[in-house]
Amino acid sequence: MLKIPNRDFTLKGFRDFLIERESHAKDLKVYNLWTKFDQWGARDEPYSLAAKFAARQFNLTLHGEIMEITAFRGPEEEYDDNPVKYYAHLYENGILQVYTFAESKQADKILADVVGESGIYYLWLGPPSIDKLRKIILSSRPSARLMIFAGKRSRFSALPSNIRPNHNRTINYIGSDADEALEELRSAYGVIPIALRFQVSGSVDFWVDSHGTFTFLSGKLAHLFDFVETAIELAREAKRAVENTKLEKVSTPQSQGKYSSLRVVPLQVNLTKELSAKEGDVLVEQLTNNNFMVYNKTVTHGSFRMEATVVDTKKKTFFSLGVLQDRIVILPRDETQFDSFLRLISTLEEFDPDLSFAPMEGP
Amino acid sequence: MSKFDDGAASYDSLLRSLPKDGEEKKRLEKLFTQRRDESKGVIRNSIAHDISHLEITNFSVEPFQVGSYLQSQTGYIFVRFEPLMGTGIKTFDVMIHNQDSRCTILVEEKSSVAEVGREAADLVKKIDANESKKDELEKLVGEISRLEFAVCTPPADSDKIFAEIRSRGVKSCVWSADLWTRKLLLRRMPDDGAKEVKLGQLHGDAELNSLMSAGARSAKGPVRLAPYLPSSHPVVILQDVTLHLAVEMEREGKSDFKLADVRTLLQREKAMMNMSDDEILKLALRVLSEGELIGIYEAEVGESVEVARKTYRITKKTTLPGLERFVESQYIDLRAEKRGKAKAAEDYMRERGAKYGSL
Repeated sequence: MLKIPNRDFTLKGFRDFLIERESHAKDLKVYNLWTKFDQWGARDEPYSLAAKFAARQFNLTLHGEIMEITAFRGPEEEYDDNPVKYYAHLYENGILQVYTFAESKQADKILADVVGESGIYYLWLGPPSIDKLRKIILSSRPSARLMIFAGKRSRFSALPSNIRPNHNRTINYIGSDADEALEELRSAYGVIPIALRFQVSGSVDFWVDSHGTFTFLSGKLAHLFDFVETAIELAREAKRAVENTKLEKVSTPQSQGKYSSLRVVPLQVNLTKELSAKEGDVLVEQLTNNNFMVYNKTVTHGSFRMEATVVDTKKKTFFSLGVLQDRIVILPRDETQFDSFLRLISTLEEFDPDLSFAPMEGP
Repeated sequence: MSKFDDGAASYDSLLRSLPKDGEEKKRLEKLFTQRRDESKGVIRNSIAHDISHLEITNFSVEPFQVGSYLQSQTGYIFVRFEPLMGTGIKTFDVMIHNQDSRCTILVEEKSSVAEVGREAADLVKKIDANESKKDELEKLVGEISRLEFAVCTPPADSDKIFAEIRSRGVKSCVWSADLWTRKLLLRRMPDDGAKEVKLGQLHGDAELNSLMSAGARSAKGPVRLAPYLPSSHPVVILQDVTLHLAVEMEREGKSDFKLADVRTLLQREKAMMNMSDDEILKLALRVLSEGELIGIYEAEVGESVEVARKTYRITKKTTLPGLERFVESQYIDLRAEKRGKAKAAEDYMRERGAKYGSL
């Protein structure tokens, strides 16, 4: 395992250090997380990013632009003899990039526990984003190949599946024709890709998954970093859509300070088809299975319409949800955080992988 | 305390008075089971009805939020829900105001209209009562030069109510809310004009009349702006508030809460916008007392302590979905039990009266 010296780094310096030693950097993992933070803050400052790690008794040491994070225990086990080390950089726009050489499962589990906190979520690459990323990577070089993919289907998915649609399934496919197989299996079994292994001869071999996590296998690390930037750019669409939503009290000049008014900008998601009441039930079931609780629900059959309040029981935030035929309208409640929003979107994308975000239409 | 307490007590004493294992006792108990189960259905229906009312209410205020089309074209803006709550009269559901023309519209929301004659008569009484409280409304927005009224119903019901209002000469406009085509429509006759404006059956604002009679299409679709209204069914309010309290307590690592926490929560709720501190306080007190009554909250200290200093707990430790079900079942079980007993006692006495009446 590559040893990182105990000195200050800029982000570029840190990456250059890794690039210079790329032949020893096999299994380097790069996690990308959206956070609501633009600085680490102090360990003892409530609600700071540093406090989220400190609360788990991780050691934090800042080396210039890179934070060294040492975890002695995960959510279930202790690793006193062999602590898990991460190196993280927090971008000004809130992206937390975390590098590690640690054993994959252990490193994932510890980080997943932190991602459960409010204000942090994976850089979610929904099916449309991961498809775009795949095409960009495959067209980067004539020699680029998709070698392996893992695809998943939830039995609640609205994606058509020609074969036994009402089953949960995971398909792992290995073969130099994986790209063609992905398309074939998508229509036959209705699976969406959740992890992809690319081999770009003369460039880079790596894995990427739908959480925006990259694993370097061999080749040029600089090229991997380029693809990481591309993925972040693709994931921005969902983030932007979320950031545009508003439920805020405003004061209009006409009210002369006597009363407030509301500005309401919900997120509108367009589905690929109109929902029937039965499919509406499936949507609710899908939400429930992903730890979103739906309550105070009103449903009208015939032409399907539903309104409900939703609470993210993991992230503990609330939404208002409206469904009318082929559109879903989500309004944040007071304390709704973007990370919870992204989790909700990723759940909706499992339901309808080809959904799109609509700009709020005019009159 | 509910209006069924006395009836429930008479059931209990009646039951005690009947011979053990006797047919009469069995009959009374059977009546209770039946009436209780019927009551559960009635309560569930009233909760569902309340959520439908919330649905049409939210729909009709959406076009009057800042930046919405109708708002920006006409200047009419949503001010608040239930503007005269707590004043002793029946309040309208929604207050909309135009600061330039100083015209206020109070809107009555109806998710369905059962007896159109009764609804129209109730509306007349409500209009009279609200007009007499114009000064209270002016406390909210300043001087009001014209006070208008509207009743908002689904399209199918708007035909009936429109005909009734016109034939009785009620001083109200009729809005038809089509939740499917997302259109809010002002009902009018082709030759309506100055006379109807004078009668209050058409709005005084020509632009509003023109846009709304063509049908103002909501850009957004189903948006539940308010998760509940101050007068919503207790279950609807308690579920939302209790879930929020549970989340807040967990976030802060606490296991109890106070009146102040409920107040903060209600104040933060955007739908409670433009309500006075006093109104919020009253609502918070209602939440606490209703919650205590149905056994979902318990106060930790004796009753002598003033309510603001009491600490409360949620009586059941459970998951959020468990809590949602707990609130509903506590309310329904308690109410249905009381109603069931009261009704069973009443029916039993009536049966006996019929049987022995000739003696």
